Amino acid sequence: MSEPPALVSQWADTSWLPVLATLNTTENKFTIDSANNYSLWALSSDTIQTQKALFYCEGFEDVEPADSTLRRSCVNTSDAFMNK
Amino acid sequence: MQGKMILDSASIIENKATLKTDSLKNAGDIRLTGNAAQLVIDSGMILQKGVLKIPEGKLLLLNADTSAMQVAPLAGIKTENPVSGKVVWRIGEVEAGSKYVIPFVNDSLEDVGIELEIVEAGIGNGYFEFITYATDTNNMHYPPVMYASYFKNPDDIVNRFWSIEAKNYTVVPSATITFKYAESDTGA
Repeated sequence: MSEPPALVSQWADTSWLPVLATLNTTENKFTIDSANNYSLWALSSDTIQTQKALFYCEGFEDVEPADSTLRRSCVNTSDAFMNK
Repeated sequence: MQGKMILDSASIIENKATLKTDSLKNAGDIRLTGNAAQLVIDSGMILQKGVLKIPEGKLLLLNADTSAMQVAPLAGIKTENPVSGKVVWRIGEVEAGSKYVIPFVNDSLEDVGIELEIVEAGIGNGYFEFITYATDTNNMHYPPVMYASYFKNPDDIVNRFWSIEAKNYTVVPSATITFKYAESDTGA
C-alpha cells in the first residue's frame, strides 16, 4: 500500500480514510464527531465500527481550518494499517 | 469470589488468577500481572483511591449501566501497554445517548481517558475493549498494526495511542468518541 497523499483533500483513495476530529487544545482532547465520521466511515467497505478503531492525530499544517473551530485531521489506522 | 469486596491497600492479581466479585471498592493501588489475570466485576466498582494498573490482563465489566464504573479524583486506570492490558466493558445493546467514561490516567494521574457516547445502539451482546499508552516523542513504540514509515510529523502527533475495539456484535453501535491527552503527551 502506498503512503497517504500529503493533502487530506487528495485522499480519494479509499485505502486511506481521513477522519476529522475537533481538537480542543484548552481541554486537551479531541472528539471524533459522529456525523462526520459516519459519512467518512461509510467510504470504506469495512467501517470503523467493525474493525479495531485505532487513531493517530496528526497536525496537518497544510489543512485549512474549515471554520473558526480548529480542526486537525486524524487517520483511521484501522483501514490504513491493518491487513498489510 | 462473589459478593462485595473492599481492597484497602495495594493488591496484586497475578498470573492466571481471576478475581470475580459483584462490586468492588478500592482504597489503594491494584495491579494485574500476567496476560491471563482478570478482574471481573458483575455489578459495579468504585475507584476510590489509587490506580488500577493493568499492564497485562484485563478488567471486565459485565454491567452495561454507565455508572457501573465510578472514579474519584486522584484515582484511575493505567494500561500503558500496546499489546496487552485492557479494559473490557460489555455494554450490549444500550440505547443512544449512553455515555461511558474510561478513566485512564498517566503516571501523574492526569486524565488521558476515553469517552464513548453511543449514537445508534448496536445489536448483540457485544463489548468494547479499551487501551491507551504513552509513547516517546517519536511515537515509539507503535501499535502492532503500524509501521514507522507512516509517521511523517512526529512533532505534531500526540505522544499517545488509544485503541477501541468493538467485538461480538451483529451490528456494531456507532458512537462519538473523545480522547483526552495530557500536556506531557504533546512534547516534541
